[in-house]
Amino acid sequence: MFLKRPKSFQARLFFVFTIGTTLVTVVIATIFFFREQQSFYKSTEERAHLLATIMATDLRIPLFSGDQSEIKQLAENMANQPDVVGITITGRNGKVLFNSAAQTNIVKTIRHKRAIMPRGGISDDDSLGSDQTNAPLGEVAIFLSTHGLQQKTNSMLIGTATLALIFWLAVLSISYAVLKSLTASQRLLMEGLAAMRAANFDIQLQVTSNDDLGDAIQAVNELALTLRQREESIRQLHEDLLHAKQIEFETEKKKDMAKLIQANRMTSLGLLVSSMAHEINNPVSTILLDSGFLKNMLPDIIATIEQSEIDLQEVTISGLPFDKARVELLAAGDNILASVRRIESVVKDLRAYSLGAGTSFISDLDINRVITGAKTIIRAQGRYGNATISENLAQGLPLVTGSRHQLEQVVVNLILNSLQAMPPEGGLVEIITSFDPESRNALITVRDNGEGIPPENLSKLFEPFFSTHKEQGGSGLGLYISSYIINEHRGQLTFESSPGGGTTAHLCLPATTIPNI
Amino acid sequence: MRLLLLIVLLLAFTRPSLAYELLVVQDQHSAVYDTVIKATLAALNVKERIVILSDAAETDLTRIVREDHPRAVLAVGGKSLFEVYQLHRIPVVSVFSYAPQSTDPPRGLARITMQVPAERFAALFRSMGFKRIGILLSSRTSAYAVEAATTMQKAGIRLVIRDTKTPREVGRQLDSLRDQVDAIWMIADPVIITPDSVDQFALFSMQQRIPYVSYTLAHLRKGAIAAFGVNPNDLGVQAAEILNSIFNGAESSDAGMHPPHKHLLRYNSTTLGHFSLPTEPLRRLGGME
Repeated sequence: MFLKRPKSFQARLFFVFTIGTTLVTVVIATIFFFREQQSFYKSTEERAHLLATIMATDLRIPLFSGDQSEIKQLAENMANQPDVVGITITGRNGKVLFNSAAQTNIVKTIRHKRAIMPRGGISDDDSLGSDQTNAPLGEVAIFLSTHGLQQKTNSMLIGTATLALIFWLAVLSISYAVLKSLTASQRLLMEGLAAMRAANFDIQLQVTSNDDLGDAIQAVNELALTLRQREESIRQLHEDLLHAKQIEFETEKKKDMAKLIQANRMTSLGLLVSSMAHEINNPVSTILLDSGFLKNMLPDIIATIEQSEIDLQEVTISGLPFDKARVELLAAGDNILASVRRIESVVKDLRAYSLGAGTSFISDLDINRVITGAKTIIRAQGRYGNATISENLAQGLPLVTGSRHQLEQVVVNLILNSLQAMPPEGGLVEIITSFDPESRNALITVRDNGEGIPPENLSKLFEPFFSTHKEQGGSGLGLYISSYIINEHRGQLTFESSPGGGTTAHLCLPATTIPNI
Repeated sequence: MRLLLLIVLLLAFTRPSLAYELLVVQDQHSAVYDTVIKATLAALNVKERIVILSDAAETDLTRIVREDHPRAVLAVGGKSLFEVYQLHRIPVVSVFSYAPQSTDPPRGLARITMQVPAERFAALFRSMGFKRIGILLSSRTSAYAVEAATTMQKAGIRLVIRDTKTPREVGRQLDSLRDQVDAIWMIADPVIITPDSVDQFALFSMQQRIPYVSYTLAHLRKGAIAAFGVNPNDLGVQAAEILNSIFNGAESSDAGMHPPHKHLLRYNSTTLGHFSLPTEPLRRLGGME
């Protein structure tokens, strides 16, 4: 954790430089220390060598003369030298003439031994020359203390460490200032990037140098400006989008409300129809009963008149001769009965439709009956105008599985669409049923020769609330609901149309049974 | 109070009358010199004042003598001898000076010489079997040089002389004696003999294995195999004898050169051992280790 890598580039650079400087300082200080230590050791050895040489030179005459007092004096003088902890002087025959090194710990001293030669050119250690004129007079050994070495080592260690520390601190201080100056631009750059990272695009950095980093800072400024502008644009777009969404939401809401209202209207309408059907049923029943009476009574009345002695040539009924009036009366009776029954049937169907009766699926549904029921509803609505509805219903069609009333609703929607597409002078709506053995589908085709559907509207036919005849009361839900119903019946509803060429609606329903056609 | 103060001042700033009879002047502090002086004073019954020339940069003996009026001066050492040369009206006894005899010594100067007669050296050389003797002389015409040459010739010893004018020539002249001589004879020649030149004699002797004989016992510690010398005590006694006669009235008869009553012969057996020389001949000559 102590050596956790710093995050900022400047700190990392300084960290690396600190480590490098430390290593270099330690290496240099160590090398310097050991070299100094070696140098001191060597100088101590050299001093021992020098002192031994001096002693050897000074002892020549006293040794030659056997002057013990002079030897002792010289040895004692030498022993008083700093760091000299012992001297040993031996004569030619090895006899120890002076020894102050007996108590010396040899391990902690530096020793140097010299043979004492009569002639000039003192030789080391055991150099018994073959030349007897230069045979050694004796030997002197100097022991120097290494305590000074230890003390010097300690003081050198402290001095080196202090110098190294001062050097290290000085270099670090200078390098810190230099790095700070050199990385000022980088720091600015990082500040700018950090600000942009925090989505602060208002930042504008000061360009302090004319180098790569200066260029980078300038680029950051330009980027910040661009991002600020884009952010503004995005914000504006977002506001526009929000506004558009709001408008769309309001529109959708209105549409949804319209749907709800329409559904409510439909519900109310259903209730109204149901109520109306109920109200109409009573007088219709009365008319039906009375018309039955009239139909039954009219032939008897006519027979009675014919059996009377009245000259029928002279008789007129409502201006019509009796013969014609007799035919008209019988036909009128039939018409009244048939019409009342039709009214009854329509009201019954309307009532069942509004109550949702007959919406359950049955597996033996005859599509021809669906067509008949749809036509009944259309006639009851009185929407024909000047249009003619013809039908060509195939016989022996296979039965399908489905709801009669729902399919009637689909056919009604298709017929109403065709009627709405007719010109004021009228047109033709054909309803054809058939069977396609290949696809095993029962087919209902509703064809008109109306104004046709523009190609751009063909793809919108099944969209809710899409209508080109809203002024004629179109809700725009007919085909939307029809499509849903057909999907429920696992069928297909397709259109062919061209502007001015009429429209053909194909309704395919899968057959439950296959006819033997 | 004032009188007391005056007395103190007079004592402090006036030289008291020493009332001594003998002024002793010595070159420097030395045990040998002290022995001589001690022996001299023991044999005399006088008061003395001792002046050590090395203690002061300059010593005005003339003023001291003029002011203190000693009856005699004892000069111990060569430098003291030189200093008393300026004293003409007072008897001076000089000891322990190796300086050659001056051609114009002061009238009242009695000097106990340190010179050993050349015959003694000749006898030593003969007993040791040395036939060729090397010698360095600053002057061949000095009395001792003439004496030495004559004596050695009579003794049948060949004297190989090297003229040496300065102490710096000693080493070179000694080297020229290599393989030429059997021994070296160091005589008291103040021109040649210095502490450094004595070491050169010793080193030459040691390195070339040519023994040397010296005029002073001190050189036994400097590599000489043998040396003649004077017992400092005897010197002191002899000096006291001369001073006594001076104090008793004798003047001019005591002036001049006085040889020492006896010379000592000492040898260094260690040094002799290096040269494989026997000690018996030296003992026969009365020498002692």
